[in-house]
Amino acid sequence: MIGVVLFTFIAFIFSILIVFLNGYLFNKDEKLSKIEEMLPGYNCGSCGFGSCKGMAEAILNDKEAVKKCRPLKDKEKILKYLGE
Amino acid sequence: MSIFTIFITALVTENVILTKFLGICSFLGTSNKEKNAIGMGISVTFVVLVSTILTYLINKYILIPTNSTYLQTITFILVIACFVQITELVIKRYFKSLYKSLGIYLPLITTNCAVLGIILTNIRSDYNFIESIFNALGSSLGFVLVLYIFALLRDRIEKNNIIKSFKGIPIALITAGIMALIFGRLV
Repeated sequence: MIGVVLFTFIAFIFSILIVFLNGYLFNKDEKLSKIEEMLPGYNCGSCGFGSCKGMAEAILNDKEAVKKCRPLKDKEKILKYLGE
Repeated sequence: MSIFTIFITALVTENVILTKFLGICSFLGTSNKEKNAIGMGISVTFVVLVSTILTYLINKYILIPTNSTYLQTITFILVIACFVQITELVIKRYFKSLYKSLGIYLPLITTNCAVLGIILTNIRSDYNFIESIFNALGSSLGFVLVLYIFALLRDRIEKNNIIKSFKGIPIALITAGIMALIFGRLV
């Protein structure tokens, strides 16, 4: 019986380890999804990056890329978010 | 048995793929490109080494003292799954192209029977800590070796004129069979 309890304990430790590692490695992705939310989401491709996801990645690398988004009206919002 | 004997035996004569026939799925799936074979091999080596160390400690200091060796298999699978996840996260973050080309085969290391096979062999043959590590190292390097040779062979074979019905996996299986024959005669 004690074996099962210990097994659960080991599993718990491993899950905590994985969750922390995930958070540590993919901190950047959180920013990416937030920027993607602020974009219009039409996936029109007029910026030249193919989709809004590609655009979000481009913005992360270079702030100026936001100007290429045609349907987006409130460009200051993203610049402000990145400036923080 | 000396450490050297264990290492060489695990590497060549008791090769996981060609004499024990473990881990055939990833062997056929990821040997289509040299880069994939090396990436897969290194991931498997990492998972096997770390899980060997951890399972040895868990088995000796937790499972045997509490008299619960019936939990061996499930605990080992838990450890393997955890380290496969960690490997996957690291590869996803730092080697994106490798992550894309390995695809489903990367999380499938969890169910790669070669990994569980090596760990169970360590426990069943009563190896001590150093012997376990050398057995794991030899076996996983044997895996990398065969995977790499096979990737090179497949590369050469694909360039030749093969009968249409033998293209792809069938000719790969025949090649693997001939390789197994050669490895079998090395004993």
